[in-house]
Amino acid sequence: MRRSIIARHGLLTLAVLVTLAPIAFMAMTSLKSEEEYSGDRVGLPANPTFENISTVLDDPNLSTWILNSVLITLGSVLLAMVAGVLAAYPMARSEGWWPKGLLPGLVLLLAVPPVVLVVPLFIMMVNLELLNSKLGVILTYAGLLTPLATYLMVGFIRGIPPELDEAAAIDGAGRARVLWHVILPVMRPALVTLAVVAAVYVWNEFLIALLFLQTQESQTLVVGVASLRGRFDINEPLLMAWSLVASLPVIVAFLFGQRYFARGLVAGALK
Amino acid sequence: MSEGVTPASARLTRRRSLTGRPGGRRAWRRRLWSVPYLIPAAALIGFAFGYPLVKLIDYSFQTRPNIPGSVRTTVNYTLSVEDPSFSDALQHNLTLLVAAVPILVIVALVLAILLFARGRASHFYRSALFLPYVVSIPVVGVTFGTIYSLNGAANDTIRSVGLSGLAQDWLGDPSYALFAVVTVIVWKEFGLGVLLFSARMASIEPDLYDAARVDGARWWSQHRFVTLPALREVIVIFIVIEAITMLSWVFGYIYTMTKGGPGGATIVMEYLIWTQGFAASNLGLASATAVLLLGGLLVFLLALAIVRRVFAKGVS
Repeated sequence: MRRSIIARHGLLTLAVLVTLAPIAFMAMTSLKSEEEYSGDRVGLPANPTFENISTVLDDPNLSTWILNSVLITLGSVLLAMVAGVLAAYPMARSEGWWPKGLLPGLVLLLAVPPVVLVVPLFIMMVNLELLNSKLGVILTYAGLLTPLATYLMVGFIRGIPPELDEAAAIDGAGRARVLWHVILPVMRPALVTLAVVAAVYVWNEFLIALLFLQTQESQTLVVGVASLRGRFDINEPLLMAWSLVASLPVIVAFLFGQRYFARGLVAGALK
Repeated sequence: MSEGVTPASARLTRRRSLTGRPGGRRAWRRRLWSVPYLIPAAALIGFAFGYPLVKLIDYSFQTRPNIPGSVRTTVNYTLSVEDPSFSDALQHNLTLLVAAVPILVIVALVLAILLFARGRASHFYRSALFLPYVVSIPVVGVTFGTIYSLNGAANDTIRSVGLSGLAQDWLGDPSYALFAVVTVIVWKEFGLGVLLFSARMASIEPDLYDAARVDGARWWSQHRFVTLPALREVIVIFIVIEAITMLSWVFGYIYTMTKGGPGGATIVMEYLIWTQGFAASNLGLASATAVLLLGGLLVFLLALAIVRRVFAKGVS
């Protein structure tokens, strides 16, 4: 019994070390000077320097890219949530085939990879003059997230006993009031869950941001950092400092919202 | 008091009938209350999926989409399929699927089982193991690009243990590049499997394990006869999610680590579509390739659904 516990913790510790090694590498390298890195790429920084991090923090691109990422994430997540909750309500509460019958279609859309949509979307953006604008990507992300948002919310609303709706209806509440005053308050954890999952998706998204935001001023943080690799004036420690700064917001958000994030992914996959 | 009861219960029954069984035109009209609620979602889905999918098929049959004088043609499809890069890309996607998915399932399964025996440290392990899943793919690509370079941390580690002969240009050598990519994808994705499997295992009745133990089942048999059957469904879901990922959601890794190279050794369907459409500005050709990818995915999902149904029938 004792031996098996030691074996279990040994294996898990090993797995954790392998998992965290690349992230630790990123963090440690960002604290090395270029000379130290070229001499020792693996070890702990002997003379930790915050020079790289402060170069990143002083870079005027950083605040622009962060602001872009924040606004795009907020805008698209909010839009998708509103659309998702509104559409999920009748789908969850209907007993006939309409509009519940739309659900399988939504599930199918979850499997459509963004790469097949980018050509027509790109032409749309050009024609609507939305290229390099936040509005264009916000609408795109919101649209891409709506099937997932609706699907998740249908699952959550179905978990709310319909007796609650009916009790409110007895008191004279119409459908909109039932949704606003009865369903939404009960759904608060579900909404946080959806917000966290959707925000991590948008913050990390690459393909659409790369194609539709082509100027340096309009880029998101993730695309900005990816575009730095291979540039002549960037050395590895500086690149790792950029990677670290770009990852910190999601890592922090994950550590605080872990419960919600996990619940959202599980609900999305298993319901 | 008794006066108030009658209208309220009457309203309740009326509302019940709103959502009740379909019954002619009136019931149909009553169901229309849902339409305003569906409009925002329909508009957004139409913007991001509906209209683009229709136009995608339209563009795939045009010589120069969105440019006056474009001619209807099927040449994009012939060109797409005859391009040697097409079969290379398809082959690489399938290699990713065959190589990465089994490893992902096994790694996630082992770790979920190890985590299952609840200890105080489990929470820490769980968070740490899940961390790669939330880091963005481009950042992962940039970091591993640095680690795997010829003078990178991976090779330095190999050399420091005296195996200099094994040091490679992992992402720059055509014979290793794709498998280096596989390791990165596995590192990033296995956390999702651990999460899904753990969630399912948490809802297994503890009695089942007790019963197995009473029957003399040791550690392995307990998991073989209790855990695995309970996880069957979620393992299939995880396989489907990851299979779709390997076939059509790996652009970020390829773009940031190898750009499809060296010499096309890691080109995948998404990267091919991107090259055709945006590097070579042939939007018609890119649309045709995209239609083929989407069609292939649908056929794959359909086949999977049929296989599952046949299996489910066979079991019951």
